[in-house]
Amino acid sequence: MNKEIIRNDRVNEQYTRVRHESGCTVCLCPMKGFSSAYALFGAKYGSVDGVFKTKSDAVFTAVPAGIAHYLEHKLFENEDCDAFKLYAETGAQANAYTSFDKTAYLFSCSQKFDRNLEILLKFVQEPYFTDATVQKERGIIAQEIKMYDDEPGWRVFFNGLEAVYHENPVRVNIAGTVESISKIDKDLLYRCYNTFYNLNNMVLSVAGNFDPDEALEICGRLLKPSPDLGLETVIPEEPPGVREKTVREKLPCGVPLFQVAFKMPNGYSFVGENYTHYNILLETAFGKSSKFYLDAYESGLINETFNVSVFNGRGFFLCVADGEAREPEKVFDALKNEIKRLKKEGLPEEDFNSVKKKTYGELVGSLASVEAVASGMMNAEFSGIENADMFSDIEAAANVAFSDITSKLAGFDEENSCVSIVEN
Amino acid sequence: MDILNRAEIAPGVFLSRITDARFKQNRVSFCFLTRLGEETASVNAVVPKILTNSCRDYPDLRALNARLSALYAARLTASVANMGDDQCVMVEISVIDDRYALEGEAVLNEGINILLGCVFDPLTDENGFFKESVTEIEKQACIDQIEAELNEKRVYALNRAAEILCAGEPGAVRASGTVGGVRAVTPQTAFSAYKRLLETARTEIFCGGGNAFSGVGETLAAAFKGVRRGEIGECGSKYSPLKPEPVVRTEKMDVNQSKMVVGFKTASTDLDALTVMTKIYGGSAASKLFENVREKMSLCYYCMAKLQPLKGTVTAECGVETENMEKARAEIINQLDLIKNGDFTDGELAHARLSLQNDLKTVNDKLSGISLWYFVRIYQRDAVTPEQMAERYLAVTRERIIEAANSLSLDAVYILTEKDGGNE
Repeated sequence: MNKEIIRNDRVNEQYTRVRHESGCTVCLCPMKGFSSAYALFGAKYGSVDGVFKTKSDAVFTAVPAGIAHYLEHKLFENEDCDAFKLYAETGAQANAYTSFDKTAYLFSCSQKFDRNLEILLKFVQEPYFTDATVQKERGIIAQEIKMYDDEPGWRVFFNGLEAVYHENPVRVNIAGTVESISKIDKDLLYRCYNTFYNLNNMVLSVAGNFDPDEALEICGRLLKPSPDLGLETVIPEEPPGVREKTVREKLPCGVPLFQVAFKMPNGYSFVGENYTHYNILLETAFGKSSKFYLDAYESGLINETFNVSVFNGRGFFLCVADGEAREPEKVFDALKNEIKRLKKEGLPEEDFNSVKKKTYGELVGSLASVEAVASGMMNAEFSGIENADMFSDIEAAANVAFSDITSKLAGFDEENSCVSIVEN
Repeated sequence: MDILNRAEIAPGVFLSRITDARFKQNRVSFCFLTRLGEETASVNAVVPKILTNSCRDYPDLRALNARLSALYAARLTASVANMGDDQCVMVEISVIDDRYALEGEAVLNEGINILLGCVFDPLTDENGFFKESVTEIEKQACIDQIEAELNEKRVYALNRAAEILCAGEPGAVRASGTVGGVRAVTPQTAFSAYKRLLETARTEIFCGGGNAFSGVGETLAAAFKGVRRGEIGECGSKYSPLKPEPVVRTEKMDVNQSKMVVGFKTASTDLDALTVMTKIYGGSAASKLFENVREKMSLCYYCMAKLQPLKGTVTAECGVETENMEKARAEIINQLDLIKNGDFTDGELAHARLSLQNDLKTVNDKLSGISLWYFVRIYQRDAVTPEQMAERYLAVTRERIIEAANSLSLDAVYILTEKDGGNE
C-alpha cells in the first residue's frame, strides 16, 4: 500500500492519497470539527465511453447511448436487497450521478460512517441484473429523459454540444434517448460493468468526520483486488471546426435562453492549468466587472443570468457563455467583437488582478465543504493530469501571471464558435 | 461554535451572530420581513435589486463590481422569498475570511462597509428618489426572473400549486411579484417602499462565519441611529384553511411530461409528528412514495412529499406520463391512507427518524445551512438547535404519526399537462 500525504502550506490543508493493493486509489481528508462525512466511490466511466476494448478483446465494442447512466441506476439493486434500504437503516443520504466522463456513488452521513462505507463498497462491487429488473428501470429512466426534455436550460446546453462537435461523444445526451435505452439489456450491462468497474479504474474519496484508519481497514477488507484489464476507450478524431453556427429549438420558456460555445483544440482537456487560466481569461473579458458585462447589462442586451465558464473533461474543452437574452444572436456577435477588440487593445491588467483574487477566493472558500473536498480529490485523480491534486487549481490561481492570460487570448479563435438558442 | 448570540440593536431589528472557525468565509445578511400583498410584493422585489446595483460610494455597477471583485470574490446578492404569509426581502454580502487574504487585507470590514453603503446610503437623483435608469434596468431584471419561472417546470408546478392551495391569502402572493406589478414601479414608489422596509419592517440581521464579528453590533446599531424606526409591521403566518371541496386545476402547455402536485391541508399543530410522517410518506429514497410509485410501479422518476409548516400544507409531487396520471394520483392518495390506517412498519418509522437525525446533524456543516436554520426557527418562534430538534423527533410516537396523517385532507390538485394531441 503506497501512502502519501498531499499538503498545501498556502491554505494549511492536507489529505492522504493511498494507492491501494486492490488497484483502487483512495483519498482521505478528515476535517476537524465537521459533523458529517461525505464519500464518493467513482469510476472513470461516463457517457463518452461508448467504444472500448480490453487487452483480451480482439476488436472494439460499441454500446447504445445512455448505458453508463443505466448502469448507475441498476447498481443500487443487489440480489437480496436494494442499497437504499440498507442506507435507510443508518439514516445516510445516498445518491449517484453519471457525467460525461465519470460515474460516482455517494453518501452523506453524520452517524454510522463505518457501516455506510461498507454498504457503499459492497453494493458497487456486487452487480445483480435480471431481465425483469432491467425492464422495470426502463420506465423510470424514460421519465427522467422526458423530464429533462422539458427543461430549456438542459436543451440549450445539449443542442449547443451537438452544434459544436461532429464526432465527439460528448454531443450525445448522458441518459441516451428513449429509443437508445430500449436496446440495453442485462448482458450489455454486465459487459460494461466488468470492463469499467475495475478498481484500477476507480477512486474512493472521503472527506469530513471519519477515522481514516478505520476507513482503510474497511477498504482492506472489502476492496476486491482487480487485475489490470488494459482498458482502452476511443474518442473519435474530431474535426477542428464547429458543426453548425446556429441551432434553435422552440420550448415553453421565459426570456430566450442561449449558449455560445468557443471550440478549443482537442488535446486541451489533458493539459494542466488550462482550466484555471481560461476561466480567468473569460472572467477578465466577460465577468461581472468587465466592460463587456456592464455595457451589455446596462443596455439590456443581457441580464444577470449571464455567465461564463470552462466546460471540460476527458477529450473535450469549450469556453462557454450562457444566459437569457431577447436577442441572442446579438450577444453572440458582441462576444466575438469583444474578443477581437481585446486582442487589439489588450486586456486590462487591473481587472486581471481582481479576477485572480476572486478565483483564488472562491477556490479557498470551497475547502470548507465536505462535498467540495471529496469531489476535488476525486476529480484530480480522474483528470489525467500528471501530479494533479486537489490543490492544483488553487496553486494555478495563486501563481497565474498576466502574460499567461494574454497568451491564451492571442491564440483564441473567436470564429470557431456557435450559438444554441431555445425560445418560445 | 458560538451559536446565536442574538440581540435587539434597534426597535424591531435583531442581530444574530454565529461564529465557527471551520468556515473560511463570512456572511452578513439583512432580512426585511413584511406581510405579502398584491399591492406591495412587486415593488418590494425591485428594491433589493436597486440597492445592490450601486450606492453613493460606488455610484455605478462598474465601480461596485470592481470593488467586490478585488475583495476576493465578495458576493453581494439581492433576493426575495416567500415565507408563509410574509415576504422576506434580503440583501447579503459574503466574503472570504481575513485569514486567507493574500495581502492581509481586512476583507470583512470592507465587505460590511459596502453592504451598509448599499442598505443605508443608496444612490438617489436630484429629487431624492432612486435613479430612473437604475430602476428601469432592475425592473427588467425582476421581470426576466418572473418569466424564467416557467423554465423549470417542476418548480413552476409547485409554485402554481401553492397559489391554488392558499388562494385568497397573503401566502398565495408570489414574493417575486408579477410582470404587471413590476412594470408599474417608478423610482418614487420604489424609494417609498425602500423607506417603508427600512423604517417599519421587522429586520433580522445574520452574521455567520469564521470571524468573531466583534464590534459589528455597534457598527450596525450606529447605522440604524440615522433611521426613524416607526411602528413595526406585523409578521407571522397562519395555517391555510381547508376548502369546502377539493379543487382540481389543469394547465396545458407544450410539454413532454405532465407534472402533478397533490396538496393536503392540516389543522394539527403537532409539527414534529407531521415532519416525521411526511418523511415516511415521501421524504427519502426509503419512503412510501419512492418505494411504490417509483420503484414498484415504475411510473415516475421522482415522486416525493414536502411539509410547508408555516401554512400547514403537505404537497406530493411527481412527473408522470399523461396516460398514467390517474394511476399515480390514486397511489399517492392510497399511500397516505395506509399511514392514516397505521399501515407502516417500525422499520419505516426508525428509518424516518434516522434520516431526519442525519439531515439535522449536517445542518451545522454549512454556513448557509446554519443561517437558514436559525432564521426559520426564529421566525417560527421555536429557536431550538438542530440537536434539540433531533431529540424531539425521536420522541414522536406511532400514535402521533397516525394522528398527524389523519389530520390531512385533500385540498387541491394541480396538473400541468400536454396540449391536446400530445407532443413528440
